[in-house]
Amino acid sequence: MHIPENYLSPQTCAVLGAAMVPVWYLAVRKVKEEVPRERLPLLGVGAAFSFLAMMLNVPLPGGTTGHAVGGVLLALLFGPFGACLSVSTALFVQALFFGDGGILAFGANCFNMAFVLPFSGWAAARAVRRVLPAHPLVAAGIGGYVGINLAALLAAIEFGVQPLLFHDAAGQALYCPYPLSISIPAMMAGHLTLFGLAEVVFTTGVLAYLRQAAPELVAGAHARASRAVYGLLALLIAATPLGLLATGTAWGEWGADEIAETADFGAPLGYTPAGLAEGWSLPALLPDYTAPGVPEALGYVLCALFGTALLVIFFKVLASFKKPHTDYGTPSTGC
Amino acid sequence: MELPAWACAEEDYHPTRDREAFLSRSFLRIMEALAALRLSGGRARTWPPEGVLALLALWLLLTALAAGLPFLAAELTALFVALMLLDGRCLRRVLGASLAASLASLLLVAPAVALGTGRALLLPVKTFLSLGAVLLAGETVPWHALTGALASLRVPQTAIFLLDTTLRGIFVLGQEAGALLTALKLRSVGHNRRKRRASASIAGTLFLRAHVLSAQTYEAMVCRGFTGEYPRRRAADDGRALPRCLMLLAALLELFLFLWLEGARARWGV
Repeated sequence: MHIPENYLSPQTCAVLGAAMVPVWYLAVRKVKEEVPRERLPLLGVGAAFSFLAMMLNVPLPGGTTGHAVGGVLLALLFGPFGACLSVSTALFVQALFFGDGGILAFGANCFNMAFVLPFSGWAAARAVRRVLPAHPLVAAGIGGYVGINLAALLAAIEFGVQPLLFHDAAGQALYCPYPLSISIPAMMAGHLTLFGLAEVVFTTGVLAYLRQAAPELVAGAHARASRAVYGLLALLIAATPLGLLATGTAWGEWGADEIAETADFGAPLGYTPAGLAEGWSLPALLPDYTAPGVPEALGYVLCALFGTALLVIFFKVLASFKKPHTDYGTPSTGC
Repeated sequence: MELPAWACAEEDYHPTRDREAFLSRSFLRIMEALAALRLSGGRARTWPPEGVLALLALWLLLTALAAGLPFLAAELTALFVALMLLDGRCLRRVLGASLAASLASLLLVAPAVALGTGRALLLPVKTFLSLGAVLLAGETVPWHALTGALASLRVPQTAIFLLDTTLRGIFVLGQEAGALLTALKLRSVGHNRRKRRASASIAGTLFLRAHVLSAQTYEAMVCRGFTGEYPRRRAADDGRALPRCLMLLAALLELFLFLWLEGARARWGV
C-alpha cells in the first residue's frame, strides 16, 4: 500500500500533503494535551509495532504481496491521534532510510495509512463495541478490517485517477498508468481477502497478548514498556525474514524498470510512463531493506532492528522535551 | 552629631542593566558537568565495568579498522539498539554530542567528498559510532567504577592515577569555579565593561588553586591508605554472571561480524 515515488503526480502529492498538515497539527496538539510524558515513549514502541507489521509481507496467488499496518491496534491503545503520529513517523523512517514509499508521496501515504486507516478503524471498532461490549477483540478485528480496506480503496482511487488527469498528447499516462477500472479491483482483491485477514490477525493477536501480558498498557495507565512488550518486539523482529518468503512486488510498487513488462489484468503495458522514467527520487540508505554485502535475511533483521530502535529513540527524546505534569488536585497515595 | 554631607545626600543610584549571560552560562555549564559526575556515582551497576571497558576498546578498534559500510551499518544498528534502553535525557546528551561531533567531521571531509573521494564519508559515521559508544559507556557505568576497572585491563598505574586525579580535579575545581562565579555575580553591580578580564581572573585564580588542591588531594589519598597502586578487582561471583556472559557474547558477535563483513567487502568489493 506504500505509494512509491513518481506514481502520483506532484499536484496530487501536494494536495494530499496539504490535507495532512491540519491532521498532524491536531494530532500533535492532542498528544501534547492528552498523552502524559511517561506514556509518550510507548508511542515509539507502537510505531515500531506498525513498522514491523509493514515488513511482514504476505504473498497472494498471482505474484503480488501485501502487509498489515497495525494502525487500528495503535488507535485502540493510544487513541486515533496518537496512532496517526506513530504511523506517520514509521512511514517517514521507511521512506527516508529504506525507500519504502516515496518522499514526495509521503503525504499521500500518511493520508491513507496514518489518517484514514486508524480513524475509520477506530470508529468502526467503537461502533461494534457498543453492540458487542463483551467482545473487544471482535470489535478490534472488525475495526482493523474496515480500516485497512478503506485505506486500500483510497490508495486505489489515488492511483486510478492519475491516467485520467495526467497524460501526454499520445494518451500515454505520465504517472500511474492504470485507471480506476484496474486499480480498484487489483488493490481490493488482496485487501478484502488475505491482507485484510493479516491486519485482523495482527490487531487481535497483539491486543490479546497485551491484555494478558501488559494489561496496564491496554487500560491506558501511566505505564512504561514492560519486558513482555519488548519481548514481543524482539519476536516480531526475529520473524521479519518470513516476509522475504513473499517474493513478488506489491501491486503498484513496481520499479520504473519493471512496470513496462508487468502484465497485471491484461497485456503488458509496453511503455514506461514519462513521470516514472524521469521523475525525482532520493537514494535510500538501505533500499528495500537490504544492506550491501549482507545476506538478505540478515539484512532484513538488521533493518528491522535499526528502524525499531530509531522509532523508540525518537519518541523517547521527544518525551524528554515535555515538561512533567504534576496534578496537585489528585490526593497523594502516600509514601 | 551631624552626619557628613555625603551621608545625607539622597541615594539615587540606578545601576544600568548588564547582560550577564556569560556569567550565568558559565555557571550553569560547570554545575551541569558537576551534577553529571556526581549523579554518575549513584547509577545501578548492572554491567561489570571491566566488561564494558573491554567491549568499548574492541568497539573503538574495530570501528577504526573498518573500511566498508556493511560493518559500520551493523555497528550503527547495535548502537541504536543499546541507546534504545536509555532514558530520554541521557539519549539527548549522547545523541547531541555525537551528532555535533560527526557534523564537525563532515565539514572537515566535505572538500574530499567534493573532490570525489566518497570513502571519506565513512569518517563522520566512525566519529558518531566512536563517540556514541564512549558516551553510552559513560552513561551506563559510574566514572569511578570505570577508572577502577582500568587496573583489570593492565593499564599502567601512572595512567590510571592521572585519569583518576584528573576526574577528581575536575570535580574539586568545578566546585571552586562555581564559588568564584557566584562571588563575581554577587559583586557585579551595574554594567561590567571588563568581562574578559573578569573571566581571565577566575581562570588565573583557579590555576593557582589547582596547584594547591592537587597536592592536598594527593595527601588526603595517601592519608586514607593510597599507596600509588590500584589493586586489580577480583572477578568475584557477585551475581553478575549473566551480564558477563552477555558481554562476552556481544564481543564475539562483533568480532565475527567484523571478520565476515569486512572479508565480504574485500572479496566482492562492496
